[in-house]
Amino acid sequence: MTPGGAVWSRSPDVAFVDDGDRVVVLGLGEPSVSRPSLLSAEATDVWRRLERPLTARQVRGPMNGHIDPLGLGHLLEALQQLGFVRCD
Amino acid sequence: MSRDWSNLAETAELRLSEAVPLAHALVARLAELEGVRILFIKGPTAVALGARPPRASTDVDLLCEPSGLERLGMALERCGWRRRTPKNTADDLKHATKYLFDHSVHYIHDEWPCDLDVHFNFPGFLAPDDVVFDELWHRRTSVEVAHWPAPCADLLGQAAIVALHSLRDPQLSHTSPDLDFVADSLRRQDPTTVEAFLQLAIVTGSVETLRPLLEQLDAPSVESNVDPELLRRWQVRQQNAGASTTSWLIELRHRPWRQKPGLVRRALFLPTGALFSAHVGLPRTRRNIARLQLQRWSHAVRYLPRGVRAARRAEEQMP
Repeated sequence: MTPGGAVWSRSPDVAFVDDGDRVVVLGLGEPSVSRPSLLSAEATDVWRRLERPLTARQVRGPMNGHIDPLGLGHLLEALQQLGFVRCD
Repeated sequence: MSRDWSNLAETAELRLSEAVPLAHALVARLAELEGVRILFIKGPTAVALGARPPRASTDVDLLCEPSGLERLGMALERCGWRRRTPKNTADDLKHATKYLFDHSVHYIHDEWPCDLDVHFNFPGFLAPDDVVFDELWHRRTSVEVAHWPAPCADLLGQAAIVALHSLRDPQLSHTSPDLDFVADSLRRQDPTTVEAFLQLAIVTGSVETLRPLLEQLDAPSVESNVDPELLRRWQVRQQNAGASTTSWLIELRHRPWRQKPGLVRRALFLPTGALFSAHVGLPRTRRNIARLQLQRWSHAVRYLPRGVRAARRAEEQMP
């Protein structure tokens, strides 16, 4: 499924704290191997946009022009590999 | 050329304001996976329910069903948490321990700046531990902490716990405002709340220990049916028996003469592990050891007169 058509959302197995300054996430799918992770600026931007499920095109939106579609796809896939987001 | 996204998430050096909510989520998840019933108490859940004034928490408090304590502990240890060395060993304080109301196990983690305080009971609830837990569990609710559902005691359960925590050490400065806050919070609820709170106190054996709050709420007076010896210990505890100085003095008064010198030596010079148990991350240098010992001695001298009085009272009130 192409990232443009798929719907991305935050994984239900993730707890997180967003204090407006930074986002720290904790994957709880396998808590014994999980450690709190600080998201980079780009990942934070994407994470905040995923407050509700969105397609990659919607995630990119008009404000995220600094990430090209291919780069955004890779970023979402990387977040998915970490277990922080999922694609339906 | 595509960008390298390998560093989009790095291991976080947690701030306390992040660690406390995330640790709630972690423990809730572990308990769920282990099938252990837990209830978060005090801290963010009590604040969210309006049972405690908003105040940053430095640790995570939870009540664990007595039979699940070991399983939860093992799950925590698999995640890198370890039991904090108790300040005093059971061998050191054989006699004083009944006034300390030993009630929890502390866990610490090198990468988490907060402690986990896993309670197997809560001082002031004088009914058996499983009866207290079942009653609080029956009334439980859930609050989102770090966007994760955290099972917790409901408003009445949290109110009782915050009040008992205040009444245990009435001489501490934050206790009176907390008690007033709880009373105001309960008064603002519907008219059946006071009756429900009284019922909770009856079932959990806290009618006497919560008496000051029940009087503030104009609750009907009822007879307490708890073990009088437990109530007496609670009253001694309220009179400062929880202070470390008092505990050592109580112990000293009960020990045979031949054991007294060794006990005094252990009271004065705690093992390094016990000395640093509440100071996670502080380097164990000679300078820090000396500084912590001096702090203990200064504290002991300050509390000595009060400790002597409390230790005498504890003995006088022995049945």
